[in-house]
Amino acid sequence: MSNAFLEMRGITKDFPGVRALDDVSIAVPRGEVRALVGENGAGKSTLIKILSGAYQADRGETWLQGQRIEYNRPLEALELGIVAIYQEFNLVPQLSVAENIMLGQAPRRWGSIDSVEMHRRAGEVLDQLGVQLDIHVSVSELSVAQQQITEIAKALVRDLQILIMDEPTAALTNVEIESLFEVIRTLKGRGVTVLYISHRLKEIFAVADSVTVLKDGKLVDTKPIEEVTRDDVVRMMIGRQLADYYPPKDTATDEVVLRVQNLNWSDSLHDVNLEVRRGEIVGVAGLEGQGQRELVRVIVGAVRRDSGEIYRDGQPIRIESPFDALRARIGFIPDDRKAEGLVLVRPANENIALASLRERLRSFLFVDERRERSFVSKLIEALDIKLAGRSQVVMNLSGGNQQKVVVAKWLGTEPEVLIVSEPTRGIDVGSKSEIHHIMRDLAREGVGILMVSSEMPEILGMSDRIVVMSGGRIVAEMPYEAATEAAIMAAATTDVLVEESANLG
Amino acid sequence: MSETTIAAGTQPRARPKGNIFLRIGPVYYALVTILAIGTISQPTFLTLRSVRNILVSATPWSIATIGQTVVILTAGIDLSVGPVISMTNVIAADLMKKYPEQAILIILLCLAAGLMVGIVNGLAVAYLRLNPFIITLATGTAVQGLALEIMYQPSGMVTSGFRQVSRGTLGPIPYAVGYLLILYLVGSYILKRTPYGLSIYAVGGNETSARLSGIRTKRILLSVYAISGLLATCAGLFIASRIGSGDPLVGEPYALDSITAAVLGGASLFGGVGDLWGGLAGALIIAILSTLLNMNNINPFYQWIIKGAILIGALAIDFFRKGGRQ
Repeated sequence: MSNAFLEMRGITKDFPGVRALDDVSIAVPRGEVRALVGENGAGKSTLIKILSGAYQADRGETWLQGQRIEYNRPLEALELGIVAIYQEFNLVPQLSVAENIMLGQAPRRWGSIDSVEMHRRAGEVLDQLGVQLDIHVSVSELSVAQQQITEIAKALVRDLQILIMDEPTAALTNVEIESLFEVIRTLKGRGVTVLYISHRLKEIFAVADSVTVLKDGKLVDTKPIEEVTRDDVVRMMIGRQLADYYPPKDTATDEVVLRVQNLNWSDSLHDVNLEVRRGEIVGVAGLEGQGQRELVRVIVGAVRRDSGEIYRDGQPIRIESPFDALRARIGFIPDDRKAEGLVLVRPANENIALASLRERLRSFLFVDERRERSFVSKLIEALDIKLAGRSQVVMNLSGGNQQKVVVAKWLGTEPEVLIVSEPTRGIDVGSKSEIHHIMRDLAREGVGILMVSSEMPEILGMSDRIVVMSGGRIVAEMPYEAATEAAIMAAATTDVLVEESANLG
Repeated sequence: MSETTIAAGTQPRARPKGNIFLRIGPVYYALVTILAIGTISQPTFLTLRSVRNILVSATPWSIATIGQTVVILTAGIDLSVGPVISMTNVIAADLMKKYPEQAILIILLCLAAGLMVGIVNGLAVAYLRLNPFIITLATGTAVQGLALEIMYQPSGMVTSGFRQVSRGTLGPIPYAVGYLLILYLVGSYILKRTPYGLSIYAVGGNETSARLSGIRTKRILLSVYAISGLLATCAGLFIASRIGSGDPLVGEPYALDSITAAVLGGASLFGGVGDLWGGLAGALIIAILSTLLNMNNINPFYQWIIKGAILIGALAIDFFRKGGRQ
């Protein structure tokens, strides 16, 4: 038994259909900066959510300073000095920096807030952090970095013991990142323990004392930072072989069915160029939030692009709404099936028929019932959807069957291009493999498929060609024969912004 | 794909499992119960004359409830129903008194006015994304003012031919029964058996999913408010025909009553769930309840309390049904 400051032992957490954490143990000494790394879905977020009280572990214990601690709510973790700072800040934009820092802790005099004392103490905390920040200005006027500092200062007022930071540098400039690191070092000097999650390995080597690698919910290893190289860490993160069975890749043709050219949208997409050919599955890889979601939404008309062209079979087309995409025979299977793919309160047959009502199932003004019935039955049979009856409300179906309903809906429209986002997220292994085979069968029939996935095995197993996105750009493209997990991860973790600004400067 | 050859292999339409008595919505039991109470408490309740009266008096409720239900199916609400009834009622009575020979034109004018209000509501909800509760409250308030401007106290007169709209009978059966049957049959058919109707359910159940499935959700939203405006106008015209004159406040109870009827009938305020027949049963319950309370000389204030309680009860059921689903 170690006498570490923070210890989590044997933490296990199940979500429906997936074990997010499997017997993970970590021990962190006081005042250490511990980096937590792993691919998407490795279990980092789950682990810190358990530590911060947002989730309950199914098994395992958490010890702080030799005491076993138990809590059921984030508030109780806060009282123990465990503070998590996510990308979404927990600040009141209308209030000033000082008011936010002292929120709920403001000194009182004569029953009302002692403003002078409040500002004095808020200023003191910022001094301790060694940062310059006007405490009178309202938080809504601050930059992301300044808000982050305010959040940290707020935590410091409350006897901060453990600070958890989840991708804290995602929206920061290089200079801001450097000053954040200064703050983290200051905190460390004051005995605060920091858990630092980042995909950017460069930062981890700059700021962390030690690194813990997670993979598929399991602990790979914990190492002092001096004992490992960047390559070691990458290897630990991806050291998995392709276990699943994927259908053979033998369907791609040369005929371009979809082409996007110089697509721009807001801050999320920058001059994206992309081609999909008939029978081809193009995988879009990358870390989460690099513009993949925006790319598919622009192509299917869910949001309107700022500039750029979309070509179908070589012809430029106008796509301003999903209705236009449907008419251009472009189907869309979204990643969040409950929020975007299904009408949960309606029966399976209505959901399956939804995108085909107007074009395929209508005669004159009405839905041809006989045609609708055979249409739905054929799809239910083809995809082997398990239903109590065709009119079963989809809310009550399993994740795999719900996903098949969404797939059936788009199969029914006989698309020529299918945009698929996280096609197998949160569904069981059996359904997963079925969906993969359905996708390849579609490709065999000549459908061009663009697949966004954050699961590396899926990208490698399904794609004929892989493009990697980072910072809203396509930073790499490779045929599947040349693609490896390491190559993709290397491209995805390249700090595009860093290199660019270096070039500019 | 050829569609017809597979028909032989299709499964029979699966029906929800469970006891037939459980599958029938609770609103129909409530309707039977209230009929039984009426029959027991009032010996004259089930006479042909009284049944006919109830049906005719229930007609404007039943018509307005169709529009309200369709709006509620899209997770919206239409509070302008009552004022639209009042406004079209007074326009009809006022103009028909002045220009009795132009009855048809006046009816068309009223329909256009009601449709306009509906379109304003629909544009605001669909394209400006305004909260339906607030926008229909606002347009309703303005329309109510307009009604009072046209006629500040009951007056006006409709033509004798127009009176036959509500008073005419075919043998023993009032025309009104025919209107209701036609509206409900056509309405239900449209809702359940056309791309448009099924799209209404989809938009109400999940607007994002519906949009991403290629449904033009804004047009759907716009249309349901337009329909509600049109049907409220029909209700207002029917009332004008029945009372023979105009009353600028006659529509007052209808917004809340039509909501109560729709929700009693199983429509969920969260959208995507409900049908017209339940709303009809709900409207009949409200009409019968009003008749019964009047027959038993219950003070109108208590009627309000009772109606309020019924709506709260129906909303509670809606809430718990949703809670049970998630």
